[in-house]
Amino acid sequence: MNELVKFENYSLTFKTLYGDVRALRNLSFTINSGEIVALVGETGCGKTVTALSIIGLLPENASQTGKIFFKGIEVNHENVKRIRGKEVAIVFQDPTSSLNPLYSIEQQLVDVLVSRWDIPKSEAKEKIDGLLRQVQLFDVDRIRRAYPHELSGGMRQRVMIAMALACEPSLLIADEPTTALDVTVQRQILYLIWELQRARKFSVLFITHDLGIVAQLADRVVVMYAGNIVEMAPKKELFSNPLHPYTSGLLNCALDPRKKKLPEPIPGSLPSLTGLLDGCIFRERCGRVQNDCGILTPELAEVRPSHFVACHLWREQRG
Amino acid sequence: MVEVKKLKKYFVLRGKGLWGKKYFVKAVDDVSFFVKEGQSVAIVGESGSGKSTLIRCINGLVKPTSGQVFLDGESVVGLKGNEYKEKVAKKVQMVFQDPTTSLNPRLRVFDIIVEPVLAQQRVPKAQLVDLVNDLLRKVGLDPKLSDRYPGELSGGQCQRVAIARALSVRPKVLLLDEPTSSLDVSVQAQVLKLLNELRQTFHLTYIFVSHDLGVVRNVAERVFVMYLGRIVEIGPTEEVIDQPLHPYTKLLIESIFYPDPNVEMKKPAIVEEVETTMNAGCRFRNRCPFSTKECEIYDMKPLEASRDRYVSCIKWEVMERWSS
Amino acid sequence: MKLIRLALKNRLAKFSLTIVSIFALLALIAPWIVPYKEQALGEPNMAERLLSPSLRHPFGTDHMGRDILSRMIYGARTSLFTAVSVVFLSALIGVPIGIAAGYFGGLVDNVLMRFTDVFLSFPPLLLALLIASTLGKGLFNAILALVITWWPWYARLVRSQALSTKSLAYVEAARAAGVSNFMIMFRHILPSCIAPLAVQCTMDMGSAILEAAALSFLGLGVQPPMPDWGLMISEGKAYFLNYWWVPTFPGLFMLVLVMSFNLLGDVFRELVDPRLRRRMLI
Repeated sequence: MNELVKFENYSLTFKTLYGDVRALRNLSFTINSGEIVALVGETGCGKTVTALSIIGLLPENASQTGKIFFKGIEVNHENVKRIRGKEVAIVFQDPTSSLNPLYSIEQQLVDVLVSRWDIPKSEAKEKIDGLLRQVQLFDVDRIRRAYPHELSGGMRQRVMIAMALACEPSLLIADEPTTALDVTVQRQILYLIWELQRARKFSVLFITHDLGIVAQLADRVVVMYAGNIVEMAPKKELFSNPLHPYTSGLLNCALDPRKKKLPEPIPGSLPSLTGLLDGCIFRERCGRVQNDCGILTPELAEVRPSHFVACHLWREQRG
Repeated sequence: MVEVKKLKKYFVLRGKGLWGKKYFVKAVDDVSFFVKEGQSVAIVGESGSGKSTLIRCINGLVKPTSGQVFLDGESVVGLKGNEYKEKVAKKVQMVFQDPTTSLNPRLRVFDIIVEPVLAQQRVPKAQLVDLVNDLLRKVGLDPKLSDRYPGELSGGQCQRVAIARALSVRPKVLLLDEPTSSLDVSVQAQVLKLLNELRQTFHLTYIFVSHDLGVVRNVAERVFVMYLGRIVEIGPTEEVIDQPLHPYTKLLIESIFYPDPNVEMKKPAIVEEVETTMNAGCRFRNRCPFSTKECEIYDMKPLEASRDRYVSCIKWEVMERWSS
Repeated sequence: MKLIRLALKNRLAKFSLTIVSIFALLALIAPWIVPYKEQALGEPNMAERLLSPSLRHPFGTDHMGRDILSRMIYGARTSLFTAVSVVFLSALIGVPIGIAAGYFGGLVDNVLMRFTDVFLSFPPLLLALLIASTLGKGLFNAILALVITWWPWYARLVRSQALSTKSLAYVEAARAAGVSNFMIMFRHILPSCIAPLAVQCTMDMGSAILEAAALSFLGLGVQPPMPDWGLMISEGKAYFLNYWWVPTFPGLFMLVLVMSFNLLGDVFRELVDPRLRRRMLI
């Protein structure tokens, strides 16, 4: 296993009319090659901007500190273009707005192939059939000539995946790719991603808030809250031994259709992201808060094998 | 309490080109059911099933093409003005999916909540203040929030305000259109708990629309599964989810991702796309592994499978035997 | 109001708003501060005609010997009054029509929009000529001509906003509560139209000033000896070569005022668009 992406004390702040918004605080984690990492959290936790910062797609008012490494090399303004769309591809949540409504599917796929591989258009056109079949779009002739609005949501998302895979990336970032889709289509798309990943062994950074998807798709899970990583562990370990109070609260809240059980909700609401904060970001909502939690910011530390948590409750067990 | 009879809503669209032929989108196609007073039922389906159109036919936001809707025994289709206020608005209210667009961002919480009340009659300000404070407390919010604007509240708080608004006219029935789909998971549980409590306190009848069976399991006693405008299965929630009879219901259940890491990633059973242009016969037959010639003429009327269980499938007994 | 508070944080906005306010103030207090009131109103002073700018006459005198500075300050009154009237009356007519068309849709929308289309096809200047020749020349007739051709734009603008607002959930909620159509249009649809209207009206102030000036330049609007910038330019153009100050200063003032309105409108537009607003740093 080698490290494909590494975040080292990475922080991201947005300067706005209302003050400085600290979107990410001291992020440190790794994505290894060939693994599926799920980035889990609720609205505002910073999971989308984490993904965008790998490829440098941040707005102008963003200021960053810390480092991001890709294949061992530090990512900066100049070399980020070499990985964007080439080594790292991204599939967004809404397939409708990610595809240009004025161009046919064929034209858009050709565009991607030409810019990635620098091949002539004619050669790119030949590859389209293969790409579409890979994502199980078998009615190739009709789909090539179709425009995005003529396809269903599921088909559009498959086209997006085809576009991403056309780049033959080492890392596929999927930002809530099935949230806008129906349940039955969701299963198809996620199985597709899973199957392709098992075959081609690229890494996947899968962003979601749905713990059901995480449970079946991910190898490792990173839990985020209000811009911080609070826990990180292999999937089975996380579900059976959630250490951070937020993680156990979140797992509790996942509704299982097989049982009738309404969970105890997590009290309170998200803290504001502006303003400096010492101490644990979760303390106002934590059921097991202690004195230190207000003063000392807990660090992410390995408490069990491969299981990292940022919480004072597990201080003694740090390796 | 609420009865829907042979309800149809067809949207007319034009085909391609200047002289495109008119064709119909049968959003709701001959749906009949009833809900008893005090019950909580869920209408489950994916996009295109017609569930949202169906409940909007119940409270008159959408005018049905044909069919009837009865509230408390009275027909309410096509009512307007004062009759609408008397017979519909006072009895049925709706909670919408997206809390950010269901509250007018330029109005204060107070004005939002009292709008339905003031539409019915003049009420002195002091009484309104009492009403609002009482409602806010009942939905778990601090009465001081009545001065705020929706933009200053979180998603969960906005949805509670929407619930308070719906309850302000003391309706008997609440129509809830995916009320928790836009909320975070941690907030969802809070809102669902609140809804269950309110139903007990105010003796309400709920008609839930949802695509999420986890939510449905926890709030509804009875479930209606819809597919392309028609009801395909009816029954008590636990039975339908644990032992689905219709192939579409089975597909829905199989597609769920359970928050259980020990479950293996399963290949989806059916890959074919939804076919919306079929006009005769069972609409699901192009995706159904059990379909035969007879399915082309079957009109999808619900058949009684057992007490209180209905399936719109002529092959359900075959499948029952096959899977057990 | 929130719009104005946010706008004030932007330097460009502060600058343009200041200029507009200065003009407005001058226009209001003109009768009391103007150095040569009678001349401003038209009384000739042939002894002092065509004097170049000096301490006594900072902008010189025109071909009738009248102080140009005084006439210009008075001219601001006319211009601003005309602009405000045109914009206000056009909005008064166009907004209700647009809201009704957008909200009700169907037949009502069709009828109202075809009616609007008829008025859209009138060319403003020709219409002004027509009105002038039948009803006579003068400021009020010029305003009338402008309003007739101006209101359809507001109707269209408001209609498209009404169309998008009416499908929002809070309008559905109001309908489900039994709120009357009129109340819905007044309480929910109309406020959503204020922002784009404010932008459009601000920018239109500049255009209205220009069009009114064009009309009086052609002799169709304000009549001599009333002071009006367009008229001053028109009368002064003959003297441009040797007595450059006569038409130039009115033109300059007009340029500054119109530009300020346009800049202000630009700032408003950026603020109103939520995507652009996020990018606005202090």
